[in-house]
Amino acid sequence: MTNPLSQGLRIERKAPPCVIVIFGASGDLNKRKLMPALYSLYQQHLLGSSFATIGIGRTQMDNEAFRELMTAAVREFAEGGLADEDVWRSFAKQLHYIAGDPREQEVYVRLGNLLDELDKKTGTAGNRIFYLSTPPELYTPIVTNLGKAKLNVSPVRDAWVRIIIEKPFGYDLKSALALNEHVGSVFQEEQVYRIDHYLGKETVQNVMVFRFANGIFEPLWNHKYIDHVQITAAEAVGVEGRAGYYEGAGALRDMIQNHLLQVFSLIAMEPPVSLDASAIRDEKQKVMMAVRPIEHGEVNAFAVRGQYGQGTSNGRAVMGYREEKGVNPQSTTETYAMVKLLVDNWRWAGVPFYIRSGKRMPRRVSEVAIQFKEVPHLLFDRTAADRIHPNTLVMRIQPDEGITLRFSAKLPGQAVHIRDVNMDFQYGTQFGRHSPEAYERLLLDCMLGDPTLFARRDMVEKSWELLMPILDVWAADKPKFPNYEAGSWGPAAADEFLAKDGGRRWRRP
Amino acid sequence: MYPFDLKTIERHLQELWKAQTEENKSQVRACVVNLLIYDETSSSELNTLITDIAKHHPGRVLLMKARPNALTELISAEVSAVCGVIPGRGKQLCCEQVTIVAEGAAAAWRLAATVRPLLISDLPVILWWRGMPSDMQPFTGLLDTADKVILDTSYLARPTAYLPVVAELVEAKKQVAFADLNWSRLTTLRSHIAGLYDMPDLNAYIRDISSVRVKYCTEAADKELPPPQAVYLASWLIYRLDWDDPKNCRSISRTGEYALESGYKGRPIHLQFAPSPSLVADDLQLEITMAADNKQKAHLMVKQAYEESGIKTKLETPTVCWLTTVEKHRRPSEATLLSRELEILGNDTTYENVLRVAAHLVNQLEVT
Ligand SMILES: NC(=O)c1ccc[n+]([C@@H]2O[C@H](COP(=O)([O-])OP(=O)(O)OC[C@H]3O[C@@H](n4cnc5c(N)ncnc54)[C@H](OP(=O)(O)O)[C@@H]3O)[C@@H](O)[C@H]2O)c1
Repeated sequence: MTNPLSQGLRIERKAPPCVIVIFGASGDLNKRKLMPALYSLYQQHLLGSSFATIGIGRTQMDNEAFRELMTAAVREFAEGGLADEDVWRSFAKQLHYIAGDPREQEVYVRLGNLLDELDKKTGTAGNRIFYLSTPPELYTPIVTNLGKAKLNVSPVRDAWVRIIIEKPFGYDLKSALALNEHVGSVFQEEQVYRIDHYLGKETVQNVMVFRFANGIFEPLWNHKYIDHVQITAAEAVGVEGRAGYYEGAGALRDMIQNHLLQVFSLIAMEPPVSLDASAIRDEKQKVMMAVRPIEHGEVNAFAVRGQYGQGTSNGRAVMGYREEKGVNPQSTTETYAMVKLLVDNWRWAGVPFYIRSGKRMPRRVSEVAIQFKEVPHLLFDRTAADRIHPNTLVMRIQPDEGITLRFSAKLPGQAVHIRDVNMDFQYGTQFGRHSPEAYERLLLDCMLGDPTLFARRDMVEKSWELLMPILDVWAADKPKFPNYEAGSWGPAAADEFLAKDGGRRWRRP
Repeated sequence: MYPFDLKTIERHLQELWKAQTEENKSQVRACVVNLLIYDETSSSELNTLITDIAKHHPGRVLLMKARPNALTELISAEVSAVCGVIPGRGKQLCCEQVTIVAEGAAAAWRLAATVRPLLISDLPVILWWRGMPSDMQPFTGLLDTADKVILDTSYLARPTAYLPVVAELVEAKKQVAFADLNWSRLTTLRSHIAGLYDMPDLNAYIRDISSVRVKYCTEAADKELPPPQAVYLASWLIYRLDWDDPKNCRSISRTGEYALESGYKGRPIHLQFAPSPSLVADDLQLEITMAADNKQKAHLMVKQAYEESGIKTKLETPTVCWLTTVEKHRRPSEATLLSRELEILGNDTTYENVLRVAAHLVNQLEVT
């Protein structure tokens, strides 16, 4: 039955009763992100009293030890630490732990029993989320075991079961297809939430509002006025102890295949017919389908890769990638990747999207820059004093989420001298209010059954398909690495690429 | 303070920013709202409150104080900066405040016209009225300027009796969004109750409610009437669940205990208001009984008691035997409530409809 009481509430998005089961609960992601996010939601009263968490892992612990581990994690990683001990204690009471190897079927019998018990004692109503926060090789066995234990459906009528899968979703197209196939044999697609934390960020969500709630930008949002688009995700750090994972991944897989292609699709998609999850995801998929496929023979005309060597970061000398612990000294893994995408539709004909991501860049910054065309005829004489650039609209995703518009203005004085000025909007200051952490938003969305900000199966497969030729060619070729200095904005080849492609330049974000 | 003069104020506003920028580079100036505050209370916490709010909703604050009984006739003004550190950023966020004091009845009357030229164009205008709204200017004068009016019936001597007046005002000024902080104080409790009815066990009973009793602290009563929050809570259930307008109000005891009859599709629903000596301050206790012909009875008790624990729930359905939970909640501060109100600029239709029901309820209670 519907619940009229939940309409018109001021706190619109309170989660329904449910249990979240975290596989890999002793791991880094749970400690850094998931537990702080759940605690924050609880603090804001967005999780009801009928909520519980079950952690699963091989590490031997009882409930108490798990609670202590989580207390320490939240103290260290939650934004305000353990702001309110009382609130934390009441949250921690509902933390449970099952010690066992998720490959063993026996674990799921205990899990099933605990879930049933919690439904009765805590009123969690048979609603369940399984969060796969383990190394990806465990995804398949966990899904199989959940299916065997019949935990893929709820024993309670009208209750729901959902599964959240962390990145990486596959290693290439083949493995992504196989994983989708397997997950699909146990769960229905509407139960599957493939998380991409970029989509939980405020600016990324704001892309839609910005484009479709303002009348003045959408008319300009096409090939008539836009010269090109640059999407950047730069990190200042190196591999940070995750060499084992990164060696097998590289920048293209780690950042572009998922996060940046998601951002790209939001920027390039057509207006959806409604805010319905499937309407939005349909439009994103449509624009992905319109991206011109890159043939194996033309990879060099569409992509550039790089790997950092020694250099400087944060004022300190830092080693090159190949010297990092756990990295093969001959490694050909790219720590920088850049791809040019062309979209073959009416809106974007001839407008290149340059997408880049790299490690050990001068600073951590993610942004989308829309570079408008130059004015058709420049009235003003250009003198040495003038600096005229075309208008640029920048959406900063991190840090300092916000939007900047660059335009030209006259310098005060008798002569007509022109300067670029920025009109700046910063989330943090204009709305003096804190944006929720991406994981908070996404966990709550999943509890509420809103998959809009999660990746759909077809989109994941399409994005792998688009990048496969690049991955194939790069795997076959031996690059001359390292080719950029730590602390720089990437390889010279990437600058040359843009210079040759219409005399363009990378922005310095 | 100096005698009000628009040019001087504007000059001072400019100088203020120049001085602030020269002094402190890590300052950010932002502006998203015109916040008009009319203060009758002269409470000393107001300044802290303004700083708190300005941190979340930077804008121009126009603080109006009226002293209609003063012997002189004078409007004076003063400009100041309100700065607060943005959490986690180490930067100061500053907004501007113009304080305007009107002495004498005629000056108080002119306040609305006096502040109007100081409003920043294109930004929403929110009027926070800390005191008793009356026909006197500037309340009426500012109603046409404001996009939203925030009242707090807890400032009134007869808060419950005043609800029908607010309802009339809301009806008459459709283009203005109204809020009562006393209604906002119920948000957490309401969402908690709504959340409980998401549980399938309880949801199955949502159309089988047969009686509702709202208990409140004896001291919180408005003379013999229940306090506004108790009336709002009952009215919310009536409105949301589409029950009939309550009638046949009976006074059960002299202490302010009332019984009324409502109904849903021909089935009667008993409503009761009862003061309770075991509750303090703004504690509320809601007791709901659910019964249908073919089902066992179910009971729900939700108690909001900030001094004790927060929100306590007891639930008994055939499948759930006395599930007792306690959710830790703190009493929301005035700054928190106001901040939330400043986030919602449009009309809150739930509030408007609940207010309409509440006005009807109060009329029933008053004639009893
Ligand atoms: N860390 C991040 O910031 C981040 C960001 C984005 C995505 N991710 C993704 O999220 C997932 C979890 O990340 P993480 O950093 O938390 O991973 P992690 O620390 O390497 O592993 C999580 C937990 O999985 C269990 N585990 C590890 N190897 C196992 C094995 N062979 N068999 C059974 N259990 C094993 C371990 O717990 P026990 O030893 O107790 O069993 C470990 O604590 C990964 O897929 C990762 O790619 C992580």
